Amino acid sequence: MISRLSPSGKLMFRKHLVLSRIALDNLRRFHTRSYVVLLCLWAILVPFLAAVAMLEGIKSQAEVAVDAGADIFVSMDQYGQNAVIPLGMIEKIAKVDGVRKVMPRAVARGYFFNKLCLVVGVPLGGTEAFPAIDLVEGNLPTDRGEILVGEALARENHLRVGQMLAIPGTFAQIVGIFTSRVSIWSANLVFMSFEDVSALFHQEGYATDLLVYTRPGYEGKVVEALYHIQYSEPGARLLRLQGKSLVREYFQRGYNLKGGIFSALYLMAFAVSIPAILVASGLGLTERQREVGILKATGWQTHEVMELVFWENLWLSLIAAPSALLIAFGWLKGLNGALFAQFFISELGLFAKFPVPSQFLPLPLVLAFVLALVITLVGSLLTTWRTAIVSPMEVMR
Amino acid sequence: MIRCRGLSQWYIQKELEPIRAVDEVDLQIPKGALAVITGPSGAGTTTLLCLLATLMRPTAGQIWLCDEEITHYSETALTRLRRERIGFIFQDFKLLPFTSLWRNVAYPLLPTGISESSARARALSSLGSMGLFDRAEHPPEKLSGGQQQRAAIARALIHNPELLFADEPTSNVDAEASEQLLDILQRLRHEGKTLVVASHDPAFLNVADEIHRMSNGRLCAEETR
Repeated sequence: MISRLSPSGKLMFRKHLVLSRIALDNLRRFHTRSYVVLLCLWAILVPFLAAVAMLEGIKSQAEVAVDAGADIFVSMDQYGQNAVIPLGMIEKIAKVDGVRKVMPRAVARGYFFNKLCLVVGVPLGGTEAFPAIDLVEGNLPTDRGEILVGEALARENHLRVGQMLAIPGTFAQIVGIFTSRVSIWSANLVFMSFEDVSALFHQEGYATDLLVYTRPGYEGKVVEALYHIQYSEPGARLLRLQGKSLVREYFQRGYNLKGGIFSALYLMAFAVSIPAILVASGLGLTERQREVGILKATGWQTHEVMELVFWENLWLSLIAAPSALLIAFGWLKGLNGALFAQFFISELGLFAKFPVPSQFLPLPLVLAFVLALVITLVGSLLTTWRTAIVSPMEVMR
Repeated sequence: MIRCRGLSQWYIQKELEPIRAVDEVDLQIPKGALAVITGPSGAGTTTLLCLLATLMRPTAGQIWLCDEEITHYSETALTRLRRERIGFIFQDFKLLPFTSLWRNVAYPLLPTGISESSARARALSSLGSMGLFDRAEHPPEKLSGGQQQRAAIARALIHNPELLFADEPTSNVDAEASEQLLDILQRLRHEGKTLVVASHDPAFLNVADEIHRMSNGRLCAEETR
C-alpha cells in the first residue's frame, strides 16, 4: 500500500510514522507523568466499562426472563396496584379464544435461612412453571412439601438435596438445586408448590397473578377479550393485564433509569476528571515547555509539535482503554464486581453471592478509547499550543 | 549575508524603566566570516545573537539573512528558515535528557519526512565527525560537558546550515574541550559557513575575522581583520 503512494505521500507517511515513534519514546522518557495519567484514565474508564458491562448483563438476563415467561400476567387492580386474583378466574380466562394455558402463581417474600428470599409457588408437574432454569442436582418438585433452591443460596447455606427444612408451620424437603441463565434469580429464589405457598401465607384460593400463555399472534386479541370480561360481569373488579411487551418496557425503563443515574454521576466525574488530568499532565510542565522550545529552535513547526503531543495522547489512550477493559473484566469476572455491583443490583451487599451478570461489548471499548483521547487532548493540546506559538527563546528561558 | 539595521529589543516592565537589551544596532557580517560578538556580562550579546538567529522577535529594526529581509516573516516561515539554513549552539547545550545522543542530534531532521534509519545514519555520521560515534546510544546526561557541547554542534550541523550561531560555546567546558571546539569552528569556516559567536573567550577573539564589541545593548566598536 505504501509503495502505491506518491513521493509526497510517502514523505508525509514517513513523517507521521517517525512522529508516532518519537511520541512512544517520549512516554517512556517521561514515565512518571505517563503512569500518573494512565492511573487517572483507569480511575475514569474502569468504572465506566464495568458499569456498562453490568447494565448490559442485567439487560440481557432480563430479556431471557421475559422471553421465557408467560405472554400475559393477570392480577386484580386495587388502588392502581397489583392485588391477588381469585383462582375462579382461571376457568373464565381459559375459555378465551387463543389462550393455550393458564397457570396460577404465588410470589411472596419471606425469611428463609435468615435471609429475605423470594418464594415462588407454581403448579407442579410442568416444566413451563420453571422458566430459564437448569437443574444442577436432584429433580423438580412433584409433590407438596418439596422445594427447589437456587445454587448460590444452597452454597451459602450449605444446603443439600434431601435435606429437610423447617418452614413456618411445616417441614419441606429440598428435592433439587438449580442454576439459572438469569443468575440474579439463583441468589435468593425458592420454588415451592403453589398450594404450599398459598397455605404458608394464608392466601388459599388466591394467586398473586395468573400466567396466561397464548397461541402465537393471539396476545392482543386475548388482552382485548380479558378487558371485555372485566367490564361485562356485574360487580366485577378491574383486572391488571401486563403483556410481554409491557413487562419488557418496564424493565427497559428501570434499566434506562439505572443507566441514566449512572450516566449523570459519570458525567459529573468526567467533568471533574478533566482538571485532574490537566494537573497530571502538568507534571514536568516546565521541562516539557523547555523541550517544546528546543524543538521549535531546531526547526519544528508548531503543527509538528502538536502532532507529536497528539500521538503521545493517542498511544496513552490506546494503552489505557484496553487495559481498563481488562481490569473491569477481572473485577467483574474474577472479583464478581465486589464493592461495585451493589450500586446496580439492589440488596446485593458488598460481595455478591451469585455470579454478577455482565456482558462486554465492543462499543464501550471504542467509547472508552474516545473518552481517554478527549480527556488527555483537552489536558495537553491547549497548553502545548500556547507554548509552541511563543518565540523559542522565551519558552526556554 | 547577515545584516541588521536599527535592531532593538526592549523588555518593558510595569512601573520600571524599560530594559534596552539591544538598542539600535546596525551590523553587517559577510558570507563565510567568523564573527565574534563580545562584551561584558549584560551587554546584550546573547540577545543580539538570538535576534539574528530568529529565536526571538525584535521590538524594532530590520534583519536580513541570506539577502532576504526576514523581519516580517511569519513564525512558520522563520521556523522553516531555522530548519533549512540556521544552526544554533546553546550555551547550556539544550540536549533532551533520557534519550539517546543520536536521536538528540537527529531531532531537526525527524519531522522532515526522512526515514528514521536515514536520520540515524546521518546523526551517526555527524556524531562521528565530532568524535562521538561510540557515544551514540548514550543519553546526554551520562556524558561530560565537552562531549555534550560537541553533540550540540553535531545537532546544529546535521542539516548542513549556511549560518551557524554559537552562544558562549566555551563557557561550560574545560580548556581541552574549548580547544577542540575552536578547531571545529575553524574547520567549518574553511568549509564556507558563516559563523557568529557570542563569547568572552580570548581564543575566539584571536581567530575571528570580525569582532563586534557591545556595551549596554549598543555596538561600541567593530574590528575587521
